Amino acid sequence: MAQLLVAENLNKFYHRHQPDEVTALRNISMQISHGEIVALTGPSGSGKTTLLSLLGCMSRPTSGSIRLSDLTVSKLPERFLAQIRREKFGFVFQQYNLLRDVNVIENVMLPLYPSSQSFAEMKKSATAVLERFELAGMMGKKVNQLSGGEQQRVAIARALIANPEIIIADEPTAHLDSELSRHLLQILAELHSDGRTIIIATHDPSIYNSPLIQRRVNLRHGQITEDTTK
Amino acid sequence: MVRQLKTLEYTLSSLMRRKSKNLSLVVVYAFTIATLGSVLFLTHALKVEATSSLTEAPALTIQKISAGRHELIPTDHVATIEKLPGVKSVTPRVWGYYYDSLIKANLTLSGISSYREKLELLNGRLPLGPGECAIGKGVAQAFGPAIGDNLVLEDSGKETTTFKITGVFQAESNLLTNDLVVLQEATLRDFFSMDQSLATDLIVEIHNQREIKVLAKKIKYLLPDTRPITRDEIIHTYDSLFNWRSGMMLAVAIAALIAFCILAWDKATGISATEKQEIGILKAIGWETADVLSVKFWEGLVISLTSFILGTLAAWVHVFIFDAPGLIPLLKGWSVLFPKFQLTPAVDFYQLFVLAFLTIVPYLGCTIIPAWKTAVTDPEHVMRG
Amino acid sequence: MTRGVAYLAFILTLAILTASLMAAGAAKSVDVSEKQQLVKALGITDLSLFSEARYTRHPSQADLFAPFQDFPGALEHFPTGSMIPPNPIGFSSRIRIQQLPGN
Repeated sequence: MAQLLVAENLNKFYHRHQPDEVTALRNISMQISHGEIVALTGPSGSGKTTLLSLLGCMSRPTSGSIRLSDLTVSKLPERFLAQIRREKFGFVFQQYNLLRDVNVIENVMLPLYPSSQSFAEMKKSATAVLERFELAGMMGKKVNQLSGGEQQRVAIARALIANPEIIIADEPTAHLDSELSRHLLQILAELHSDGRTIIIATHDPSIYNSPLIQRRVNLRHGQITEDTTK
Repeated sequence: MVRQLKTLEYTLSSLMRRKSKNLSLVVVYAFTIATLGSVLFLTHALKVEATSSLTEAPALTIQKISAGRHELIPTDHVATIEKLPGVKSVTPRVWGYYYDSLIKANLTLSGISSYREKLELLNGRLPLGPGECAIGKGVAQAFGPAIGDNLVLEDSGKETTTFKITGVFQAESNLLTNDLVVLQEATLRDFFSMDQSLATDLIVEIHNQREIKVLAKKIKYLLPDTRPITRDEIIHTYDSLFNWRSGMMLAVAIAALIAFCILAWDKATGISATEKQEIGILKAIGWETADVLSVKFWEGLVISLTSFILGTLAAWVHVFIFDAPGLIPLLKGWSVLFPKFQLTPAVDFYQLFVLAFLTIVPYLGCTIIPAWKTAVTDPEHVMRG
Repeated sequence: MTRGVAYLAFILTLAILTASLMAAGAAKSVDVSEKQQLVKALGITDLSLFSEARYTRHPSQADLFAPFQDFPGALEHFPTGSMIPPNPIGFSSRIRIQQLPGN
């Protein structure tokens, strides 16, 4: 399989050259292929979120490089990174990161504002993706009126609206009960069968032990300690 | 275009979310603009009023100056000035003030000699005989007489003199005649006990208007103790009467601008945690810094433009429809006889433009700069909640 | 897109309303001839706006000392007093210094 994401010798430091310098990642090298579904595991503070944000083009490594389909994204200026985030990635966050007092459909439409689509087209795509997640009935509701599970589904709908190749999910089950977690896994399975690449950071065993997950990368103190493919 | 409209759409929905905050912002902002705008409109309209009617003021007014003060001028000077080439006429004028200690009002007593034509803005007629007078609307309103009543004044010898009111000036002329009592010149001279050989000042009319300045110089040369005041100088006085350094402009403008700066500063420094979070989310899901900033730009523009237009509209209505009830007490000072006047709408678009520039641009800056500082950071922190 | 269009329509209407009010006021050619006649007939030199002191009632006629002498209570603190800048027109006296040699 062709390599989709290639990371080489990634290092990430925070507060560089200051007394409170933190080494978040040290010498990480890994490849992720098209259609793979990868779980990043490890205790909190091990660097999962940092690695996800580097792979998702949200921040740049202190040193090392990341290539996305042969494009060295770690060197690109911020403008292009934003465009790549918009077109290639869908993000699902631990805190959902929805705008709380905005209604569901507008939240889902957010990633399309910078695109060239017209407002009507944006509404159409948002409606379609909300229907897929059985959220069509609550389009006009404000996000803070929804339950945790519903909010998570809205967040996933938002991640999918631009039809991204790669889904990045950070602790997606942290605020869900086991029932909802199972439901989430089903959704992930569906997205995977669409042909999407999925990267999940999690410390929830029900996720990383599920048969859906093909590969598990374990981190500790900013370094890869284990990389197993089932 | 479509993209700008989409940005505007997002901006409006984001402004609506913080409805009460933004609404109060618009109210305060519009109020500031309305205050400043009212001052601009009022002073400009007064200026226009003065400069348009005072074009008929005497070409030259000659005063005598003694020990640095205005003094009565000898009527001998009339002959000296009349001899100068280019002079059409020289008229000695008698005028002065009369203080009423009961209502503490100052009246201006003015003498006329020979004018007999009908004045359009006078009800009744000008005084023709020694026992007659015409009064301004302000005097009529303050003391309550009408045409046909008598005005009784105490002269400088403490004797009372009675004048029959033969005319009252119409309200439209209030800005010119409000506190006037017009008498025959001889009567007034009597009343003030002013010697025949003296006058308050001399009025000089001239054939060629372009020679006013030259004649003023000549008169000053021939009669070094006089002070010639040209018509242009009078008009210029009113042109610069209400400039930006003058008291009311300064007091009102500075108070309003400081209040506005506090508001803007508060906004600039106080980008809230929620707003920061929102900017982070938008960046994380693929908005560029430029997209975030264009939303903030629109946000500032919507608020400041709406406020500016509402404010100027309010100022216009305040000054030209309601006659500036909010500013008149300031203008009035200690005047007892303050004219009620209806101003002719006049707007100085240059001033308006400066006002727009001085309020909208800094406000836009105050909205964009803090957002820019937030927007250029990596969106990574939103992942950490 | 309704909100955006509605806002643009609103602000445009408001702007046009304000502008046309101002333009109408500016274009209204007022007949000042009656006032000019009055000014000419009575020899008026100043606006009858502030009647509390000589130099505010007749700013173009007052001498340099007027602000300090006309009215015993006329300290330079009333609003109109501060509004009228000192404008001594028609005075031409100058101070000159003669520096004597060896001084």
